Amino acid sequence: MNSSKLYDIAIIGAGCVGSAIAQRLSKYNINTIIIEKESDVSMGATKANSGIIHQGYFTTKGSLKEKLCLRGNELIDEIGPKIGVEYERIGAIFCATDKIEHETLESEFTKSQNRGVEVELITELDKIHEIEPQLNDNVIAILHFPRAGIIIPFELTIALAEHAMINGVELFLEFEVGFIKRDTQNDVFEIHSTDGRKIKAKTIINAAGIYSDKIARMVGLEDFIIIPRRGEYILFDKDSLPLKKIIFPTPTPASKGIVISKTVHGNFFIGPNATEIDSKEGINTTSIGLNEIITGARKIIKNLPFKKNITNFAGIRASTHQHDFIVEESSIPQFVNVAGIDSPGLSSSLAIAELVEQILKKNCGYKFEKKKDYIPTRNKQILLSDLSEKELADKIKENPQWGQIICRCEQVTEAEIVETCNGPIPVTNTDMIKRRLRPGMGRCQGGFCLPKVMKIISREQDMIMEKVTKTGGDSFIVFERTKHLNSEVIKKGENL
Amino acid sequence: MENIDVFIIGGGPAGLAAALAAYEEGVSVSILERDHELGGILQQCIHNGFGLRYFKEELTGPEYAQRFINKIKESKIKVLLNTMVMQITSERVITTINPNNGVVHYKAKSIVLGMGCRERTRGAINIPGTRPAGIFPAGQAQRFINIEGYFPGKRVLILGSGDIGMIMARRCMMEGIKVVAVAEVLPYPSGLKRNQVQCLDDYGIPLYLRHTIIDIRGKERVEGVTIAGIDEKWRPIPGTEKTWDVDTILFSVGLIPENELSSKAGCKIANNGGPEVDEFLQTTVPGIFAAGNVLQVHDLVDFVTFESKRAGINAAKYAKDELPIKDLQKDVVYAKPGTDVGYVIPERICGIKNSKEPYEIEFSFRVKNPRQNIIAEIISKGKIIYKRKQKFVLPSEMIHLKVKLKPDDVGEQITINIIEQDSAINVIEKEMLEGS
Repeated sequence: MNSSKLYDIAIIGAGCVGSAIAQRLSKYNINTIIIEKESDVSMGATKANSGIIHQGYFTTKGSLKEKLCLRGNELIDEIGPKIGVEYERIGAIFCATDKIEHETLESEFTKSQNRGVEVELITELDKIHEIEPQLNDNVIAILHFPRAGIIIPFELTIALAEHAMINGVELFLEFEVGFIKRDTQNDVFEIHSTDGRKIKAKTIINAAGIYSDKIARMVGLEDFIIIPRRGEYILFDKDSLPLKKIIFPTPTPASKGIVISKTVHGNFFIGPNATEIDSKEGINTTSIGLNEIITGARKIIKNLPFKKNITNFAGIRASTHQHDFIVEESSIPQFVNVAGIDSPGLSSSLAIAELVEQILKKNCGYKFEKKKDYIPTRNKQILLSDLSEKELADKIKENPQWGQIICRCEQVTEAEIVETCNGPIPVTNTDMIKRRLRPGMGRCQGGFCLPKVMKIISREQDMIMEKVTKTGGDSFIVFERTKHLNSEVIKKGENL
Repeated sequence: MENIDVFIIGGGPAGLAAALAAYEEGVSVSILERDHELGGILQQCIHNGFGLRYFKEELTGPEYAQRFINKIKESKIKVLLNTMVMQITSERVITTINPNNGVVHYKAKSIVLGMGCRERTRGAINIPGTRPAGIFPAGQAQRFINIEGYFPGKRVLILGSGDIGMIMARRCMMEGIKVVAVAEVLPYPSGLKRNQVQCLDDYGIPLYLRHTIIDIRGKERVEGVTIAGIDEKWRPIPGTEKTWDVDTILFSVGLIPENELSSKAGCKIANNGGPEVDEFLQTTVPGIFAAGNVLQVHDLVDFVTFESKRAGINAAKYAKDELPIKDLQKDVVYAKPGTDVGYVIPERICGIKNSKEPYEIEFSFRVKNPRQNIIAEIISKGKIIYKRKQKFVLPSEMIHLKVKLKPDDVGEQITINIIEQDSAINVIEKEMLEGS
């Protein structure tokens, strides 16, 4: 993969921000590449966060966070349907349980009105509990933002990256940047991977998330450092609590607090806490952290269904001391930093991409010429759940794999997994299938389907089972065979 | 669409026994199985210890299953493999999908639910740490070793001393996989005593009681694990941590009856996770019966067979319109778990109130704590109406009580208690005194 090709733009990092930028640029005749150190897009902060489309609340007046969050909230209506991403504007509520919190909400109410945001402050107890029956009785006031919504962050990111790829953007996975050389004579960056590969690009967009400070330092920039902040979550089974709204406590200056929200797929989660940690890879959960979020959630809602939790996980937010997003061309020409994207980063990602486009248009000297053969939409993959019985019957007639259920919890068929395996982003591990189709995401957490999914990957990608990983790298699921059996690729027609 | 009377959901041990029993009642029977073969989880249980009660001989899991499968092959029972049941309605219309036949609906006269159970996961018990490869439910590891033929790891710690966990500890050692320890959150092993002796003690595997995992390390693959002792409030006790470098962690932390289909069919689900049933093993939806691990997690497959035969016979009778209680749901007596009893099956008794003779009921239940020298007693209308002494009871072992109760002794509710013999005798003596 040593490419002698000279790219116009190399985006480092395929999170929601990098992918949104790529998607935005893909409509122009600009050679763009995304490079990503992990085996899939959406593997850093994007993978594990609250999945909320915020509405600009509790941001500092005049900040990029305020501006881009509000714009991002609008842009999702324009872009989401085009690229086949589901989201739901179920509305968010902030809850006050005492006078001081009530005052905080009142002041935010005024600020939000000044921002021109749709918002209501509700103090009638009947109405509060009508809006969200799961709230505790001690909630005395709520601030309701009806335009806030929920989205699955990795579904958005996969859709953005795939749409970019359909329109010619290249994606290099498992390309971890080792160092960057600046060829000042030719105005070209050479980006070297840790395993000896190299690509050349005229412009770099540093969207490396938690590692964006490390990337910036590779070209000599030391203007910011990323402080990893871990947030832990607990996910609950589908239909285990009928929530209507995204529920927040009254935020403190440090954090928005423990959120309780349903997801687009009907699960619900509680979290995150916010712990500053030393390691950029510290995505472990802790007893203390899990207790903290349980305690936090119980302050606001009544019936936490304890036996219905499915899993816990942690994500890392890329915070900075600046407390605002950094989206600018750096002091090094043609090196654009998109850094410090913590909350509301997901909500802002589409607007960040728009801002990056403006920066490039202004400073970088490209001709922003629209592609003639631009494909404006990405079709969402057809899933079993989208089909009527009649349609499913027809599909099975055409392809019997539609009649073979692989994941019983989430009801995923072999046909869907095969199609995903052969999608725009080559699937090499079981988590990639899980993020795209949800087998392993349900209540049994892959207890039954994991071996079957591994076999399909083995067969479709012509790799032996021992090479199929959970999440790339050395995350092998099984080691060698027992009883000196031969290593084999699963063949067509073999039972799964 | 052919006319079939009784549909059996699932071709594991429960479904096999129910199908044969129903078939012997002279009705037409079909088994709907999602896998490509019959036998269910028994196929991966290649250890022995099955069949001592039912066949009076010791068999492996596949051998045990094969005896039923052979009989099914000789019968006219229609087996549909690779067939997933998507939905069952309260009118007993079953929607299935299958690669060859597509979407097919069946209208059943009666149904036996035999979907079995799934394993409780690491996430369900909130174990902290990272989430790398190498964390398996014990049953999945069993599948990898016994069916697929792959090593799921080389150095293993097992959390949970359930039967699958202990059997997997031995299985790993036999394959040359080092088991560093088994940790158990309870103060006693949660599986059968014989498995503790044969699977852990005989292999010198240490068992840490009242311990749990407090951290899992590793980004891509598991690299290490830390356990710690816990106090009476289940909090880790500082200073009791023990750490191992392992590449694999197996979880054997309980089984959960799989009742998503039952629930959607309208069956009321009881606290133990299985459908609420009456003495005919009929759920709250008329004509839908349940047996095996979908109803209650069993200790021995032999008991699954006994229970499922009853369900099969009753389902067949229902289909033939011969089940006596079809319309007797009004005078229901509820059976409740009392002192030290986790759950009781059946939860409902329909036939007793209108019975003219002493009424036979088969109860099964589990105790909450290990106890010695106990009395299992049944109480109704404030009186002890049945009692039985027992030397030992363990939460890992099901208790079966086959009793004949006089309709007049029974009120709206009966309660099953486990009490110590001394105190029980006192109560009885007191009652006798009061009575006189």
